[in-house]
Amino acid sequence: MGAAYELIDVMFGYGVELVISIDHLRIEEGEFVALVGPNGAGKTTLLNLLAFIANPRAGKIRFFGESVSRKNVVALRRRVGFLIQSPYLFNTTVEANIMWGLRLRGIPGREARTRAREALERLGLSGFEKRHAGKLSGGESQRVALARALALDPRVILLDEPTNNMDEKSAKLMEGVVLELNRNRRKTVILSTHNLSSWSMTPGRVIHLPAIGLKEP
Amino acid sequence: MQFFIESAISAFELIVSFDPEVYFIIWTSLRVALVALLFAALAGVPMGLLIALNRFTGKQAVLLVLNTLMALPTVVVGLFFYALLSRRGPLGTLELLFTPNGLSLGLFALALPLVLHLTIAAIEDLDPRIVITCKGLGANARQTAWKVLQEARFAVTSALVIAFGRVISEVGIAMMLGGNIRGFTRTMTTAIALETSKGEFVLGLALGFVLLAVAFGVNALLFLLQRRR
Repeated sequence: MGAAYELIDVMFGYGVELVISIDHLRIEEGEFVALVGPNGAGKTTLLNLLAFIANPRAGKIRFFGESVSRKNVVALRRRVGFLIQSPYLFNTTVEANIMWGLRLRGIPGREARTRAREALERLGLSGFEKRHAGKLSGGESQRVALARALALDPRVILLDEPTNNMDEKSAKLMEGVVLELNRNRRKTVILSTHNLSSWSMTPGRVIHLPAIGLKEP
Repeated sequence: MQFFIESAISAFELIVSFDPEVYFIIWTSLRVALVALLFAALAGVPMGLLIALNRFTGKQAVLLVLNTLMALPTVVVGLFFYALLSRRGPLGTLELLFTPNGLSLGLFALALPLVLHLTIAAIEDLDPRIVITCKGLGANARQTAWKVLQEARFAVTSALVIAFGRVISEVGIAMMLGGNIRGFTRTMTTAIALETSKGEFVLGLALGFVLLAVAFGVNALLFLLQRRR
């Protein structure tokens, strides 16, 4: 099995401040990695780089062997499921929220609807299809956002502080789903957390941030 | 007071009797305003989207110019386009002066900065997580822009409603570019001004009622849209 990600001499910063400086980082396909560090350590920034939302100031990122460039960045983004911290749901129904990403990929309406229903079912949200996204609780919104990302069947799942603002029951459910995808379907999972002890599952590898001069493995 | 009441009753009778002249004036007003608004929307909404979603040098200057243009007196717009469209003007060969299309052009210039400014404000007011969410779901720049516009739909529609209110009720441009020609370019506002100056208070008042009804309709629509947001 090859590398999902390979980062070589990657640097990223805001203004003069350097937030990320990675000499070498390799994440294998099917790996479960936790990015741990205090607030401001660059966890979100690193995830943004891995989701191809932010461009590094210098260095090279390879994704399943493919170098990231301006030309292929949208295609590569479509192979990643990214759950941002406090996710945003579009001002429409839950179903339309989940179907949007699928429709972008040219999946026909009927199939997209089925996949949306299955994703909701997996996260314990059956029957939520026609609900308006603006009327959901914090935990429900978070689960819908995860369902939206997972419905796309990405090769890599990136989760930024996924259990923040979540009740215990929702957090456990989410952990279970993520773990199942990693163990049984060999999805690469990279999550950020400032408190690893809040997670009942053990990741395969923990990367401590800030990532200045990081060299792993 | 008696005079006002009698005139109001006569005006009301004129409206319900479906007087052809009154309705032609109403139709002309609505037509030129809607044509102007259509083109202002087609140009202003995508431009607003582009300005709001991108950072570029001089953006603040663009916003400042738009703010200034929003406050431009309608007679100045009328004067400028009169110079452009008059026979000796650079666009004189188009023969648009004193035509409904020439009038729509002036109203378009009045509506455009308003549509642009309010679209930019509507989009900049949106949750900043929308763009990152769209990108994260695999949208390209065009798909992201379209989604952003969808999220701002109520505010952008409000912008169009406000712009319509502005163009339907203005008089300076209608007078200077339309010429207030009976049965051709006479609008509600120019007719009110003319008829009142002639002492024909009834027709002016009848059109005033219609204009008020339009203003009420526009505001009711705006109110409903704001409630939906």
